[in-house]
Amino acid sequence: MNDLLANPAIQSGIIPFLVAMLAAWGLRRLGWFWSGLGFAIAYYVSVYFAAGFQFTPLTSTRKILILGIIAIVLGLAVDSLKQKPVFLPVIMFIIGTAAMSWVIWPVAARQEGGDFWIMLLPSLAYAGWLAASSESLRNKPDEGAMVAVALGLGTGISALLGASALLGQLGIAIGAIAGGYLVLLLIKQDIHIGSNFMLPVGLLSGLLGIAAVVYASLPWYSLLPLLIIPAMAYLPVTSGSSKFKQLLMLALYTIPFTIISIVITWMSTGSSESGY
Amino acid sequence: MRKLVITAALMVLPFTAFGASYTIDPGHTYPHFKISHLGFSTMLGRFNKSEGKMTFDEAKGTGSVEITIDANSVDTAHEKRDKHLRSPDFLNTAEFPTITFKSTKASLKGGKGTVDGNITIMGVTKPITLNVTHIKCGVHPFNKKNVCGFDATAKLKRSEFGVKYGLPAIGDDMELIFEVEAVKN
Repeated sequence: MNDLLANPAIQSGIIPFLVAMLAAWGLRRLGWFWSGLGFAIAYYVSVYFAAGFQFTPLTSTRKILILGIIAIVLGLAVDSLKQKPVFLPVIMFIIGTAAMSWVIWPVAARQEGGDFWIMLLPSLAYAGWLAASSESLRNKPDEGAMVAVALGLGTGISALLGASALLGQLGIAIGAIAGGYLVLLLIKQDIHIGSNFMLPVGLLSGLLGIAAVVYASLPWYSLLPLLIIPAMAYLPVTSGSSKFKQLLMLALYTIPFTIISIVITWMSTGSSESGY
Repeated sequence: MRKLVITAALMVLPFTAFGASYTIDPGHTYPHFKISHLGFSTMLGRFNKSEGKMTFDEAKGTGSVEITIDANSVDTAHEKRDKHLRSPDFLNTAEFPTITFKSTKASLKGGKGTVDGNITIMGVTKPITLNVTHIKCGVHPFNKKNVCGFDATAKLKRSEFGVKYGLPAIGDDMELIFEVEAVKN
C-alpha cells in the first residue's frame, strides 16, 4: 500500500481525481458554491502525499502551497458577496502579482539592473492574468473546469518534462481534479465551482509555471500558449447540443494550447529522461 | 612600546590558540557524494566549486574548518541529471545556492581524527562528524608554499534536510567525501 501511495501517478493523478469527484458530489448537497471546495480538499490531499505538510524552511514551493490556501479563502469571500465589485478582475490581477512577487523575490532580488525587471514584470503579468482571467469563469462550471484541466496539465506536464517533478506533480493534480469535475458535469450533476475553485486554479497554475522557469529550467516560452487558454473559454458553445458535445467543443478550444506548450517543452528539453 | 607589544600579541593570538590559518585551494578541494542508484549501483558526484578557510595546530591536535560549497556546481557527468539535481526536487540551488560546513570541535592526532560541525543544506542545519582519514602538512614541492591537506568522510540522510524526491528508490543515505587542500596565509 505504501508503495502505491508513493507512486507519483497515484499521488497527483488518481488520488486528486477520485477525491475531487467524491468531495464535489457530497458538497453539492449543501448548495451555494460549496461543491467548489472539492478542489481544496482534493488538492491538499494530493499535496500531503506528494510533498507533505512541512512549511519550514519556507521554500518557493511551500510559499505556493500557502498561497493556494489563501486563494481558496479569498475565493470563498468573493463567493459570499451578493454583489461582486465591477473592478474584481483588477483585484484578482493585483492578488496574482503580489503572490508572484513573494514567490520569486529571493531570486529576483539577486538580479541586477535590467535583468531584475526582465524577470519580474513578465512573471507578475503572467500570474496576474491567469488569476484574473480564471476567476472570471466562476459562474461557468463547464468552461472553468475545462480551463482548469488545460492549465493544470499544461503547466504540470511542461514542468515535469522541463524542470521539476514536484512542480509537475502539483500542476498535474490541478488537471486531475478538474477532470473529476468534468466527469460529474458530464453525468449532469448540478455542480457549481465559484471563485473558491477558479481563483486557486488560476493562481496556482501561474505560480507553478513561473516557479518552474525561475527555480528550475523550464523555458519561459513554454508558458506562452497557456496564457491564451482562459480567453478561449469565452468562445461560443452551441447551447442546444448535448453536454458531451459542449464539453468536447470546449476541449477543442483549449486543449490544443496545452499540447502546444508540452510539445515546445519536449522539443527544447529533449525528453523526460533525467538520468534516473 | 606597550601598544606595539599588545598589537603583536593580538596578531599572534590566533596562531597560538587555533594553530596556523590556511585558505582553501579551490583547485584541490572537491566535496564528493555517494548515493545508491535504485539499489543497482552507487552513484558518485561532486561539487566543482568550493571555498573556505581552516586552522590547524598539529602539536595540540586541534583545528577548525569552514567550507562553502557552490551547490550549483553539482556534477554527475550527466547534464540533464545535473539540471534536475539543481531543481526544487533536490538541491533547489536558485533558492539555496550554497551548502556550508562549519566545524565546532576537532580532535586530530597521528594524521587522523574527527571534526564535529554543522552542515547546512537547503536552509536546514544539522550536526555532522567528519572522519578524517589522512592529514599532511608541509612545503609544496613545486610552488614552495606551506600547504595542509586532508581527506575526510561523513554520512547523512538527505531526507533530514528536506531532500525527499525519489525516496526510497533513490537512496536516503549519502556519504560525503572531502578532498581538501589549503595554503597557509
